[in-house]
Amino acid sequence: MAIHFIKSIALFGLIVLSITACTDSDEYLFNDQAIEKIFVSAAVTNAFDADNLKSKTDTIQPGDSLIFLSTVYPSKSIRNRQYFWTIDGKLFANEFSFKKNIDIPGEHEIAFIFVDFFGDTLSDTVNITVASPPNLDPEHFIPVNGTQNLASDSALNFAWNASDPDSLWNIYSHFVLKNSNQDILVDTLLQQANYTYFNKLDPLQKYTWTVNVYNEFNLKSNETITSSFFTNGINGENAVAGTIGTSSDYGLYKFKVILLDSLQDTIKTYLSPKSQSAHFYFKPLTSGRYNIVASIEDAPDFKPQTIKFYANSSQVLELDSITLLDETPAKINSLSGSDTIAIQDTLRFIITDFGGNIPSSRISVTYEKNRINSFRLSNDTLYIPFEKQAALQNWSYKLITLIVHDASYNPTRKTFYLRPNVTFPEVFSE
Amino acid sequence: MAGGLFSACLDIPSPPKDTSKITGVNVFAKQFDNAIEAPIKLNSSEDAELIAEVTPSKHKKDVQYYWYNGEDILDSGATYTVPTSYMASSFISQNFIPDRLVIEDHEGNTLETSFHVIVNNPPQLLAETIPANGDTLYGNSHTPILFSWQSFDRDESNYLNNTLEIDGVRYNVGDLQEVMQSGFAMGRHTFRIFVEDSMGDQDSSATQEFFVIDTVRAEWLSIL
Repeated sequence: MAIHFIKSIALFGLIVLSITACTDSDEYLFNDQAIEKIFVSAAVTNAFDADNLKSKTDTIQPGDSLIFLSTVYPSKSIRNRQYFWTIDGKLFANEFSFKKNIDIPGEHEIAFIFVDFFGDTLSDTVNITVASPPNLDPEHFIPVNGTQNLASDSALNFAWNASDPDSLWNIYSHFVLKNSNQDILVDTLLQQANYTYFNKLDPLQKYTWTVNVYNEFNLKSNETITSSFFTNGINGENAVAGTIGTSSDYGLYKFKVILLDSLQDTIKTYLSPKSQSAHFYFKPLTSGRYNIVASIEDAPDFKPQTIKFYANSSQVLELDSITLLDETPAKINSLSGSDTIAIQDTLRFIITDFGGNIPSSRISVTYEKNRINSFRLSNDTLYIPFEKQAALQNWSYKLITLIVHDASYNPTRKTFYLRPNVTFPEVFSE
Repeated sequence: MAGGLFSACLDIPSPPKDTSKITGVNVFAKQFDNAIEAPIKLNSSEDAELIAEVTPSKHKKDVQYYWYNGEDILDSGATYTVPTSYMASSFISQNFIPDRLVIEDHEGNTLETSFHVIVNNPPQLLAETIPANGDTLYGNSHTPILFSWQSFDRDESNYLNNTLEIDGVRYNVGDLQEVMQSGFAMGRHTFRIFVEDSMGDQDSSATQEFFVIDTVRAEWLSIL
């Protein structure tokens, strides 16, 4: 009986098994399509502005701050265990996004690490390079500024002190050599902090050289070397050079420089085109005493200057900048030459000055404390339209004052008396 | 049969000797009173010592030291002296400076380490310089003065970095050995040369002095 019961149970079990085997079990399988993947990203930017460029790498100077941004997909609000940032494997921050500076020079890997609810770790990295600009000593270099007599026909060595304060990066120097006409003779990048110029130079010439230093991230040194030197003369010849300008801050002048020997005989004359300043250069000169007379041909108000010098030792004597001064103010006269003038529809005055053109903006006209702006200056004549009706009704003299500043800002003030057409008895007899 | 099994299990190895506690051996050099760790670089102008160092150091007297060059034993002892004569040429240094150290305890256990010794010839400066010591030079502050010297290195592949020190101010002039400098006031001035090779070995000149007399200014004043 019991055996029969067990057989029945087994049979029933087989039947149930055959039925369940035919069940569609697919609906109980894991469907990865229904799961939303989680991933994170990290970036850096310079401002919180939405339009600002976000990047995975950047190069900054020590102390510069950056904004570190993280993104969690599908959302930062999903359940997580922890999130944090590391710099070179050490804890950096515990925020999603933050602003922070990095002071230590070097290449840094900064990682955003996100541990989700299930303990899975997700991360993304940004790479930040911190580099200081290179150092350049702007005072100690070879040859020193203003060196004379450098041989024009042999190799010339230049050297300067440059270094990387971080002792991490390669640095290179940008060396430029120009002649006095600003023609570039050398424009090169150097790995070493020295340069040898092998070509010939012109004798008795001024040459200028500049150095800027960069590191491998193109960060430029804060300092620049700008220096000049002079080549020697052949057979003891000399030269003299200088710059001439004026006390005027805007005028264009024809400068004249005359070179005289010790007997005051003219050796050479230099006449510049119209310009604010001019550079003169006389060579070759034998050793001896000389005079230079600097003047302005078309502006005799500028007082000429005479400079004595002695040329010797195959050198280029560079004179200090010569500034010609105009200390003579303009003269203001009426057409008649009198200070008392008759009232007319247009008053006319003559402004005489030999220190360069005077613009209208430097002329002020006042009539009885009222400023008149409707005047016009043509050549040396000042035209002032005048409403004479008001003056005609009055029997007293009226004052008109002119103030003129010439090109060198020398002031002239002159008051004229406007004579009425009616007299006191005529007015009061009415 | 059971007895055989038991006897096999009873064959316990003997306890290790003390020398088995030495965990490592290292070689470093001593020169100019400085310890030089690997890579060992020796300056050929000064005697040096190679020194064996066992870890832990309490066993240093319990072992024998054998210095090898290839398969040849050069010497024994905890130190190996490298006189300058062994560094005079690359042929000698290759054959008389060890490249391997074997230590052996009284049980015959051995431990060895290989190393490489770099012999660097230091740079040298010739004593003659321009200006020579005590020279008197004529000119003014714009007159360039030639500074010239000769530095060299027997290791021809070495880059020499020269530094010119004038009146206490150093100018790194790289591989240049001749520069023109001006800016000297009347009176006494000094200069020195330093040279360093790419291995860090150096040489320097004695401080030289020179005097500048401003004849240009004197002539100028006399004429005016």
